[in-house]
Parts: sequence; C-alpha cells; structure tokens
Amino acid sequence: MGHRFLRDPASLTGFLIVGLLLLTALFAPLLAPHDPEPVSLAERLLAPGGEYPLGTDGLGRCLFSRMLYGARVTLGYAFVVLMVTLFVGIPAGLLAGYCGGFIDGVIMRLVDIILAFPNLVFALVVLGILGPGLLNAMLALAMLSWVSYARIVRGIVLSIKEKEYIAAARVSGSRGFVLIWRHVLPNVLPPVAILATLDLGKLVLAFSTLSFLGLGAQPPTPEWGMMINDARPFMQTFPRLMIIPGAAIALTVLGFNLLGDGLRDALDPQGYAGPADRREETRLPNAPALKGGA
Amino acid sequence: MKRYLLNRLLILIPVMLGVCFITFLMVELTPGDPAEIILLKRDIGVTPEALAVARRQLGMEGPVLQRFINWLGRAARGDLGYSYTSGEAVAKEIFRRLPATLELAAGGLLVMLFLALSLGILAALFPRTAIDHLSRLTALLGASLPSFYLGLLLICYLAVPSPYLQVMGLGGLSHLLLPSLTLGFGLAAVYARLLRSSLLEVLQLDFIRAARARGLREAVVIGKHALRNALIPLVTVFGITVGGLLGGTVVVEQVFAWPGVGRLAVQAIFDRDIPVIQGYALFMALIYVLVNLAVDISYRYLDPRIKLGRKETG
Amino acid sequence: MPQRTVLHVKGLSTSFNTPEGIVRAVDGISFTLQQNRCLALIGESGAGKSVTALSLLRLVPVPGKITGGQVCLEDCDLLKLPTAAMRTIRGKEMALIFQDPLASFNPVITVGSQFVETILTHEPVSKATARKMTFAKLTGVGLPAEQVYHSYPFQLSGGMRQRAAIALALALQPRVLIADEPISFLDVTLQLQILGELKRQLEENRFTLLLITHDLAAASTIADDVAVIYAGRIVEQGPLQQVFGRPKHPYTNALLRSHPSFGRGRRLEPVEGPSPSPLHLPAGCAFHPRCPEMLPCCCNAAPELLGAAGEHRVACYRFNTLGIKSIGTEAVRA
Ligand SMILES: Nc1ncnc2c1ncn2[C@@H]1O[C@H](COP(=O)(O)OP(=O)(O)OP(=O)(O)O)[C@@H](O)[C@H]1O
Ligand SMILES: [Mg+2]
Repeated sequence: MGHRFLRDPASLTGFLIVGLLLLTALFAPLLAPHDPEPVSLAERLLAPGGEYPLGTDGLGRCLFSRMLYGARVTLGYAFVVLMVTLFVGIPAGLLAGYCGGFIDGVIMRLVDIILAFPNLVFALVVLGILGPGLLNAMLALAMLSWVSYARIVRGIVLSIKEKEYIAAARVSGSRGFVLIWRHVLPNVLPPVAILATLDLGKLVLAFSTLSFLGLGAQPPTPEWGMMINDARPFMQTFPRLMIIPGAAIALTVLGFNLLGDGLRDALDPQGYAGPADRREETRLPNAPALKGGA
Repeated sequence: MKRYLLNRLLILIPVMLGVCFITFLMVELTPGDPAEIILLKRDIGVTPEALAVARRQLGMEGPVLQRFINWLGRAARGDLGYSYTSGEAVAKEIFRRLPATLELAAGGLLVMLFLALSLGILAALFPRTAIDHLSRLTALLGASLPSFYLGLLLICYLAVPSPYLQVMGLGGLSHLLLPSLTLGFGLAAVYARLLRSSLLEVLQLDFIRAARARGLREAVVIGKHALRNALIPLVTVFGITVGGLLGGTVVVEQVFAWPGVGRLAVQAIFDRDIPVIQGYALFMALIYVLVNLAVDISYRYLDPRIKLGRKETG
Repeated sequence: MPQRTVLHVKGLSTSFNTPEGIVRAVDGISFTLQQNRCLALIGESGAGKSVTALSLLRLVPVPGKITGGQVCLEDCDLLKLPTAAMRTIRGKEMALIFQDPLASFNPVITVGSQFVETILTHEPVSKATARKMTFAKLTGVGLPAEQVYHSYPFQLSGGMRQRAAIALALALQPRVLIADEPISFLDVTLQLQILGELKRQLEENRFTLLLITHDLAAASTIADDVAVIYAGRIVEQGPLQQVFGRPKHPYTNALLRSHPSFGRGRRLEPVEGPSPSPLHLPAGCAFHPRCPEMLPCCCNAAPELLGAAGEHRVACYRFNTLGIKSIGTEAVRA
C-alpha cells in the first residue's frame, strides 16, 4: 500500500506539502526571525529583504514570522477541531448504528436538523449565540463536522451488522461494545482516515473564512484568513500582504486534498473509494461539504 | 409519486420544527434579556413593570415550550421580531435584502453550470488530452482556493485594470459578473470532474452506439442522449451544492460589498443583534430545504425508472 | 428470382491498436448480401462478428480503425464517404439491431420519441407524420402501438423490446439490416418468435439481412447463406444447405458437431482447445492448433478462401489442392 501511495506523483506532492507544513508549524518559534505579534508602527510596510524576508505588514509586523506562526495557528486549531469531531462523531455513529431504535432516531434527527442549514449558515447561528472569537469558531465547526462521521460510521455499522461473522461472534459470546470494537472499528477506520484528511483541508478553509469575516481568530493572532482581511486596505499598493497568506491557505488545502485522494486510492476500503477516474464522484455525497465556507 | 411526496413532506415536519427550535433557542441561550434591550433601545425606563409588559409583548412568559409555541405562532404570521440596532421589523429588513442575495446565488449558479458543463463535457470528449488535464487542474484549484481570496485576486487583477467591471455593490451585469464567478468557480470545479466521469461512463453504453447507428447527429447523441443520462447521478449531489451556494454568498457579499442578507447577518453577529440572525437562519434553512425537496422531486422526473419503477411491470 | 446484390464487402480489415499490441479483429473478409436474402455470419465469441457489423457502419470504437477494404452499398463505397454523408446512411440505408434489446434504446426517453427523433433526422416530414409512421411500424411488428409509443424501454418485456428494436431499425426502410445476435438474450420461445418476425419482415419488405449469431439452429431456420468466421477471417462460406449439409472446413465441422441439433445422434463434442488469443494469433491457418486434420503446411501461411463446389467456398488446404501443392512443396523445402 505504501508503495502505491508514494509512487503516485499527486499523493506524493500532497504528502510533501503536508509534511513541510507540519514541520513549519512545529518549529515556527525556531524558524521565525521575529515575534509575530507586537506592533511597531515605525516599521510599517517595509519591502522584503534584509531583516524582514517578506517585509512587514500595515502594523510593522514581520510578515514571514506571521506566516510561520500562522501555519501553527491554522493547523493546530484545525487539528483540535478534528479531534473533537472524531470524538463526538464516531461514538455517535456507533451508538446510532448499534442501538438502533430510539437512540438512532434521536441522533439521526439531530443530524438532519443540522444538515437542514447550509453549513456556513449553521456556523453563523452558533457564532450568533456565542459571539465571535477563535474558540467559538472552533466550537461552531466542530458542531457541524461531526455529522458526516456519525453518518458514515452508522452506515458501516449497519452494513456490518447484517454480515454473518458478527452473528458468529454473538454466538461465540462476545457481546455489546466489545463486539463493535473488534469487528466494526477496523472497517470504520480506513474511510474515517480518508475523510479526516480531506476534512482537515476543509477545516482550514472554513476556519480561515470565518477569520476573514472577523468571526474567528482575533487580532493580534497571526491567522492567514485574518491577515488577508487586514491586507485589504493595501490590496493594490502592497498586494503581497494578501497574496502570500492566500497562497499559503490554498497550498495547505491542496496538500490535504491530494493526500486524502491518495489515501483513498491506497486504502480503497470496500466500495468507499472508486477507481481513480471516479475519485471525485465518491467524495461528494458523504463529505461534510464545509465548502460552504469556501 | 403522490405517496412519495407526502412521505417526504412528513419527514420535513420534524426537521423544520427542529430548525425552528434551534433558531428560537438563540434568544434563550444568549446572555442579556431581550425585553431589557428593547426598552433601552426605545429609551423607556427599565422598571419592573415596563419589563413585565415588554416580556408579555415579546411572548417571553411561561415555560420554554410555551414560549417556543408563542414564537412559532408569531414567526408563522411573519413576525420575526425587531432588530435591536435599527429597530426595524426583521422580516421586512430581510425581504428588502433577500433579492440581492438570490441574484448573487443565481449568478453563481449560472457560472457554475456554464463552467461545469463546458469543462466536464470537453474533458469527457477528449480524455487524457491537454483539455482534460486543464480541467483536472481547474478542479484542484477550485477545491483549494478560498473564495474570498479568489474574489480579492479578481478585484485586484481583473476589475481594477478593466474599465468595464464594477466591483462594489449592486448594479447591472458588470457588477454581477465577478461576484458570480467567485461564487461559482469552486463549486464548478468539483462538478466538472463529476460530470466527466459520469459522461465517460455513459458514453461507453450500448445505447449511445445505437443512437449513432440510427444516424443521429453527434451533437444530439452527446447533448441529448449522453448528457441526460450522465446528469442524473449528479442531481443528487446538487442539493449540497445549493448549500454551498447559499453559504458562499456570505463571503462573496463581504468581499464585494454586496448588500445582501449575508452582510446583514455578519454585521448582526458583531452587534449581537439576535433577531436578525434568527431571521436570516430561518430564511436560509427554509430556502435550502425547499430547494432540496425540489431537487429530490426533479430527480424522480429525470429518471423515469425511479418514477414509474414500482407501478408498472418491467 | 434474379438476385440483386445490395451490399458488397471486399477485403474489409479492422484492427485495434491496444497498449498490448495490435489486434486484427477483422482481417480481410469479403461477402455479398442479396436483396430479400439472409446471410448468417457465425462464429464463436471473439471471432470478430460484432466488429464486422460496426465496421460496416463505420462505428468501430477507439482504439479501433478500419485499415482497408471496401464496403459498397450498390455502387457507393461507404468507406470513402465523408463523415456527414455517412451519417445519412446510418439508420436510413443500413440499420443495426443489438444483442441486448435494452441497449437499443435510451433508458430515460420514451420509445415513441426515439422513433420520432430517428425519422425526423432523416426524413423531411412533420412530427405528426413521424408519429403516424411510428404507429404503423409498431403495429407492423405486432405490438400495441399506443401503449408502446408512450412507454419507457424498461416498461416493456424483453420480447416486446426486441420487436420494437426491429421496428425502429426498419422504420426508414433501410436496404440493409444488420442484426447482431438479436435473440441471444431472450428465452427459447421468444427466440423463435423474433426469428419469425425477422423472416416475415424479410419476405414483406425489400432489404437484406445480415444475421450475426453463434446459434446454428437460428441460422439454419432463417438464413439462405452462411459465412463462418474464425479469428477475424471467413473460413467457409456458401448456401446454407451446402455448408451445413456437407461442411468442408474442420472448424465448421467441429462447430456443427458441438451443437445439439446437428450432432444428430452422436455424442456432443465441444470444439477442442482454447480460443486463440487475439493478440497472438497462430501463424498460418489460425485454426491449426485446434485442428484434428492439420497438415504440415497449415502453420506456414493462411489458406485462401477458394471455391469447393459452386458457390461453396472454403479456406483450408485439405480442399485447396493448389494450395497444398504450392505451399506444401515450400514446406518440404523449408
Ligand atoms: N474496444 C476494443 N478494444 C480492443 N480490442 C477489441 C475491442 N473490441 C473488440 N476487440 C477485439 O476484437 C475481437 C472481436 O470482437 P467481437 O466483439 O467482434 O467478437 P464477437 O465475434 O462479436 O464475439 P461475441 O460473440 O462475444 O459477441 C475480440 O477478440 C477483441 O479482442
Ligand atoms: Mg459480439
């Protein structure tokens, strides 16, 4: 599997991009020449070069350092949201699929209600209640994205429940959640891994979108989406202030997309992935479609 | 068909009730007493008596369920409360701005359909050629570029140098073009690839060869016979796209200073103007749910095998 | 009855340029079709029957290409026609019926509108006239026209569908009808009905039928002439009685022996050995590895299709003494 995965130039590119980003995020404090936050109006809008490899922004902060720390912020928070999502979504799906009946009904109705809002609109509702802010934006995204995991996992549990070896396991005495743990989880993990990788890209996109709107990260946090919004007054005079963070977001999302597609091809979990030519087709229906934030 | 429709509508009832309940809960969950805010806005002294009156007017008395039913009743009559900031009726404000948002969404939809159809069909007709690679690249870009970034790039490098394209606010086609492009591009990219694979599959089928063997023009074979079949599986995905389209307007409105409901909603979040957000959420959910219903129904009409499958022998 | 040649195929060759190599699916075959007569093209799976049919209509799918030969409809060589002109031939002068009756129709468009669409493509008539013509054609093949007209293909039974496909193919009174295994998806009683329908149409209308099949019984009930194809070449050809009654080529022989109604009392013997791989056809006569009567010369060069008795022709060195002499001596020398 590893061979096939790394021989595909697209997934290799994705792997390299994501790897590089992770390293940047980890070692941002070592790599960054400056503190990304303090304002220094005397050094506003300096050209790239010398002390400031990418120049400074409208408030005299080192753009390069802010970019490096931005990787940390973007990836870090996307990752935290993903973890919360998984911790809610997978058990919810297991519970719904395994118990059925009333519990299933409640969980799936909740899913239906959340999906009745366009994704970004739902995020706005949550932020309307909680108010703008980094933590609240994360909460909003988590409340949104657990839904697709719950659905997928529930579907897999239901299909596996039909199969004989579960019945055999019942007869041989393993019961309840032990049963799920043993038989269902291995089947659930590959599609969840693929979905999670693609979702990281979508979360980065949604997160920077909320920050761009001013609803996510707040100043002076170095967040790419917010940096683009901050750069709008200088859009024509100093376009790099906008272009560089935007390119970073696009590259990050691209990396996760390529990696996710590559994983799909390599893991090819029974029927959850199609042949290479039909890749895209299998992505949409069960994807969480945070694209609303794009 | 009738039965299916009835079923579908029955399922919608609890979902819509849930949507309403969540929207209603916004007031309950946010700190701050709406009655007090209203009094302050209207420069009425905040006395216990005045508060009690205002509460009664707002239907804020009794247990939660009672209050929810009150709220529902008023919402059904088109009374979504008053904006904390402008004091205007929320329904009125939304109705005033909704056309702009719908215009933008329609523009985005048109761009999406145009790009998706042309790129998808070309890529399917010439697989593994330059045009196919171009469409694949566009798809990757479309899925990765944040729309606000794309919008700003378009403004910076297309609109500013061009004397024809307008970038700020409402207006004719010249105003609508770039926002629509921004909105439609990302969604189109995904569809182009979906259409490509679906069309490639259909073009392999025997009835396409049969259509050619009957001497039909190639344009008819592709445009009518192949496309119609290839689009059927895409219709199911279309509902999600509409969600992206509706949500996407928020961002695009912000970038292009488009005076729609999305801007209103974002501003309302900053102002903690809960009734406006409520109204916005309710309208968007309603539109989204109705469009999805329409998509479901049209799917059954597009594919007669589903529509008639059970009734007839076959 | 004076015979009138409608279609004359000469040395038709079609090959597929696949990544694994060139597949010569049809390799220089020749035959003629006479008006109101039926030629049955028989052979095992992969012999090149369907590719022949598609080549006649110039509808070979990529990576296939017609590499040579002539397909003359009366006096006009179809292979030389411009694309647009060829389109006016398809459906109008030469029609095709497919094996899977579902395959002939677009599944999401009503049967009737597919008739009308076809008629309007070729004839300058009004929609109402096209509709009337459709009704007449559907009635002509014994279908309840009104009902079938408004049905979707999946709403019809297999037999009805194939009747409708015949009606559609004959809608514009083509001069040539090619039926590619029109009955092999149907059950036995329906097979007889559809064959009967084809036969009746052949008697009532002016056209010629190329029946492609691997069903020898079907061929024998309807065909006037038979051509046996093996690995893209015709190995035996002639009037039905002669080819089936006194088969010359060992392959035809084996084919007949493998069939219940021709095995006549003897034990059924399937044709021995595997079908040849289309990528690596044996040198010489492609049948020689499976041939019970192989001669030494058979592996050197493919025998030509030469007259055995009257119209009956066969491509086998056993019956081609000239061939044995010329090539046999070479073989001995080599
Ligand atoms: N699209 C294609 N690409 C490559 N080779 C092909 C293609 N279509 C047909 N062939 C080759 O042409 C040969 C003849 O195929 P054809 O479909 O004519 O067989 P047939 O006689 O109709 O068999 P059957 O009874 O199974 O329909 C096959 O051996 C196959 O290898
Ligand atoms: Mg065939």
